[in-house]
Amino acid sequence: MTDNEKIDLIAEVLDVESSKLSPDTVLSDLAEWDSVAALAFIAMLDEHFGKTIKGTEIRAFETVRDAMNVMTK
Amino acid sequence: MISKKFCNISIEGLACAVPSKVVLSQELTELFDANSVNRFVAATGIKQRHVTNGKQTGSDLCYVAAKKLMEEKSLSGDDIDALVFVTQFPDYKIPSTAYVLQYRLGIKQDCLVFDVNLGCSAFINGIYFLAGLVESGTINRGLLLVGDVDMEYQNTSDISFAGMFGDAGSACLITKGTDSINGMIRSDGSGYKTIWTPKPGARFPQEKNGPLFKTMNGEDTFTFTITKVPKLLKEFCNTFETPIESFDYCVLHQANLMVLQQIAKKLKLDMMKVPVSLDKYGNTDGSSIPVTIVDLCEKLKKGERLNLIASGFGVGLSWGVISLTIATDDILPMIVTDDYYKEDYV
Repeated sequence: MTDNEKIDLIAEVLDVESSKLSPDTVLSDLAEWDSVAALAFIAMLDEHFGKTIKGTEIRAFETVRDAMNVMTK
Repeated sequence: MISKKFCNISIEGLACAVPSKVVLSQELTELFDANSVNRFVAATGIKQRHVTNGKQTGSDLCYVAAKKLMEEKSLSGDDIDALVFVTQFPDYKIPSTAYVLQYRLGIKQDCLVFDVNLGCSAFINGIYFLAGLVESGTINRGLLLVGDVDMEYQNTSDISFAGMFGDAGSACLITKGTDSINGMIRSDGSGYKTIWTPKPGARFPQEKNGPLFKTMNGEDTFTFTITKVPKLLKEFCNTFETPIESFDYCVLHQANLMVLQQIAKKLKLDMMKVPVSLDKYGNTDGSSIPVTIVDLCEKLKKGERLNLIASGFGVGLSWGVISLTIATDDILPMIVTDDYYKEDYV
């Protein structure tokens, strides 16, 4: 999966336009990065990559790149 | 393996009660910004909840549901051989609230009575216990009461708690009969901290600091749910050779809409077969499955017989699946009540 495709999926999770995101975007700067988005991220990871993630790992994400890094099969 | 087909058993009746006070999710805008509230409503599906007037407890709601159900079925306290009350919020520390309910409902002394501390898998586990007692011949008829009021969430600063939980109580009669109930139960104590209220209890009897209310690791709870629950539902259907499509409805614990959609997606189940009561009642903890059945029944014709598969999952960690049949005529319409027990102790 390309980086752009990953960003599209993260944008879908956050319910924002992909153009608003880059790998360097700081998640805490986005009002949409909240507990609901964390659950949507888990569902996306399960559906597209068949993997699970701990809550502590998600809360440690600082940038969009951190989220992209776990999006592997 | 904890799975069993219980034979010669029937669900004789089901009733639920909720408080009359309704809180709309949009009222959360008084505490949180409108965008957060809209996202919360879209993700959880919760538009409103019925909440306690502050005096009602889970046992009060169960009492009203049980009394009405016993009247409808022309049963007296002499006809009940076991009363199980499943709750996370008992009326008193000691004794078990089930004994107070036995007294209030006028149930005979020749009766097995106990509380069980369980949350969102309460109805599934409760049916499993009582089905075993009925099938073994230990009892002829059991009364399962599941009820909670989550007063502790009303002042929280976290929207996913503040707007999530509704209050409800349910009563279900299980008796010797001509049907069967299949059940499958799973438990994972290694996840005991995922949803917990550590204080006050015997482990920390003197500690006054720190939160005294329930904490939940939302992400880990969600992961547990969307992985373990579809897996168990599939195992259940394979074991009992009952394809999921063969059931009229799949009634899931009403955790939130995202959870229901995710489980349905994994089971390739149309959401038309997954009834939702979250919109009206929120997440009503252990009684959410009976609340959803009652809510569903209000949309169906009388004289039908429903073939249901149901799954509850949550604190413990605990999760399970049952299948059962129930006649719509045996499901009472939702009871709305403000009654509560006027305790004379001060």
